[in-house]
Amino acid sequence: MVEVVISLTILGIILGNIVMLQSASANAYESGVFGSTLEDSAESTMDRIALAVMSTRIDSLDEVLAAPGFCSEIDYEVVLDVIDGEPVFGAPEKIEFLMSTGQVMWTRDPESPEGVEISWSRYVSEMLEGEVPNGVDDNGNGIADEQGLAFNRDVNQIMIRLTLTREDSNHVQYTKTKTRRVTCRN
Amino acid sequence: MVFVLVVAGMGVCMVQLHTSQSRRQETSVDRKRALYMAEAGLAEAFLSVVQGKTGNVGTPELPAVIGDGVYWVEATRLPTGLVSLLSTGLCGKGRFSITAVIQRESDPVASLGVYARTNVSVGYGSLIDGYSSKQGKFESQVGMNQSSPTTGSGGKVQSGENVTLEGRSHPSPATGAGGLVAQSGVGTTIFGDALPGPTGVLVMGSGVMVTGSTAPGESNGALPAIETPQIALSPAPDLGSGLPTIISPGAHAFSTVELKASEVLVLEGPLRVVFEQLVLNEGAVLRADNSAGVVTVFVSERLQFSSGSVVESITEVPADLVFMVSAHLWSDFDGDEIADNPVEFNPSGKFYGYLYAPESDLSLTSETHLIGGVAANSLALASGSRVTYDQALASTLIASSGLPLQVAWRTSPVPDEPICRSRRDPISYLEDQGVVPLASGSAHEEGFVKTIYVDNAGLVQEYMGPVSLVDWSDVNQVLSMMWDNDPVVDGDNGQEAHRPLVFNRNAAMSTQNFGF
Repeated sequence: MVEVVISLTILGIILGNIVMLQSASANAYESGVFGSTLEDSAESTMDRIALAVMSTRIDSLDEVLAAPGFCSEIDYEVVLDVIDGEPVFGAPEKIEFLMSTGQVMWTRDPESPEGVEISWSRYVSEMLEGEVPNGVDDNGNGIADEQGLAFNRDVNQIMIRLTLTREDSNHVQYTKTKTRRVTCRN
Repeated sequence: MVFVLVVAGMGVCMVQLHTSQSRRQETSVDRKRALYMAEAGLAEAFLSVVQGKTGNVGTPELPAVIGDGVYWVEATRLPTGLVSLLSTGLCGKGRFSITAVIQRESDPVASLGVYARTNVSVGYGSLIDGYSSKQGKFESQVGMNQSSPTTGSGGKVQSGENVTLEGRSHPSPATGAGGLVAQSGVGTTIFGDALPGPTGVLVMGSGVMVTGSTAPGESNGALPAIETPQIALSPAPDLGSGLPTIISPGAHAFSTVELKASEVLVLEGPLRVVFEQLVLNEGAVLRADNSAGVVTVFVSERLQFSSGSVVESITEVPADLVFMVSAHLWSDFDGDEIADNPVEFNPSGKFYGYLYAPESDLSLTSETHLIGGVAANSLALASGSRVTYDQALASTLIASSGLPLQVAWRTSPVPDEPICRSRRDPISYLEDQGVVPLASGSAHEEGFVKTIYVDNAGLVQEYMGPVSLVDWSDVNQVLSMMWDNDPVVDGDNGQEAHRPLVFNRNAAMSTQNFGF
């Protein structure tokens, strides 16, 4: 009898460890996936935005102001070809931050009913990491109250800032911020 | 046993997960690196074009290597002097292609027409038109149905700030250069464009006619400084013999040269000559014999062409006679204790040439019919002035560095080449093929050049052959250059000879040996 109890106890401890290990592994897995996926998403979104800004002209981005000003959307055109020595630009394109849905939306021909819309990213934070809506530059980057996607001009270059944030099932919040300085090539 | 199996299985799953995440991130990083590899290829191709080569760098089968990636560039010649450069970069698993279109030859200053960095004022009764020396002499392009000998089109007046065109205010006729008589009461006429600066204004008096555009130009007013060649001074030429005094081809420098009445100074091209002071009194003649090459005159302290002096050009092609005037400081040149204007340009009759005086406030009188172009700090044309702009100057290299100009940049689809389809590291791929990629400096496709230059002995020489075989150490001044893709450089593709403003020997030698 005593042997049975001891055996059951040991088996219970082992099974309990297995369950705990499984639970911890699952949490670690989720954490790893969340962080890594968010990092990938931030990086790929920033790559797309940077490539779009590279392909346009600096003088077509009048809405992008120098710090402390910023904007969360840009209208631009990219070069398609050169005909008779003059660059030929494609249809107007737009990159904007939709705060209501937390998306970075890219649109071709925004004024046209046949325009194409693609979401480049979800989980964009309302405010850039470290920033709160108080009229003060909380994160020390020279801009106050900037949103999760912010463009500003630095001489003849464009600074792009992006923060993605996401919460897992354990209500742990993950935040990834990317910053890039881009020169318009046209 | 079960415990071990469960733990092992979970371990394998997590390793697989992290491996796939790492691969994704690595691919993303490699793609960015490939983009910058392609940009490095564009820079290398740009250098190739500057050196007069074709712009092709490497091939898909034998690319150039930089760091741990490779690239190649395909150059395609387009109409109107454009070159399209398609650069493909490979690094790790990343592949990226970009295309840049560059203007091979451009002169942003000479193409501005009659230009001033600040303000231009045109006196009443003046007439400005244009023509193209590539289509023949000016007289052959004059329209017969005009009220005075003019082509009736092609003129260009431009400034970095304001343009003022004085209108009809004096009804009496005015006599201009070449026997032209402005009609009574005729206002200023611009057969072409009159363009103020981006933030300037165009003021038009009554009776002024402008047939072309009056929209603000895009020029920001910058005029590159003149780099006067450093040439040892020669003794002053002997002008009192009664015969024309000839300055032979090559490179020469003189202190002060003053021509009195009936004295003739002949400048034989190809020639670069520097004067500290060049003075033509009434009745003096300066003759540019540019039939064998361009005559470029640098004046550093004082240029005075008095009324009644004459400047002749044998070819009557404006690009063949260029005055680079850096004089701009007022000084008492004649000893009367009154500061004198360092630049006075009033030769009589037709002047075929280009006058570049970026720091001078220049005034032109009705004595001169300037045919060619002019650029100055400010420009004032007196009443009854006559100026004809030569549109052919836009494709010269009179006042530019000669560097190509980027017109457009865009991303392009990656070419369908075996090395691109393979997702392997390109250097490993090439190693398996037994291919050793080239160093960047050795990967340029050879181009051919025909150049006329002045060697270190002051003699005019000519060379035609591969660009890489030019002995730059023996080149003192480059007078003209023409490039081609084949060994016979004869302009059969419509290319023209160019005259660089300043020859930088060190740059030419360093770029020839440029490489990693």
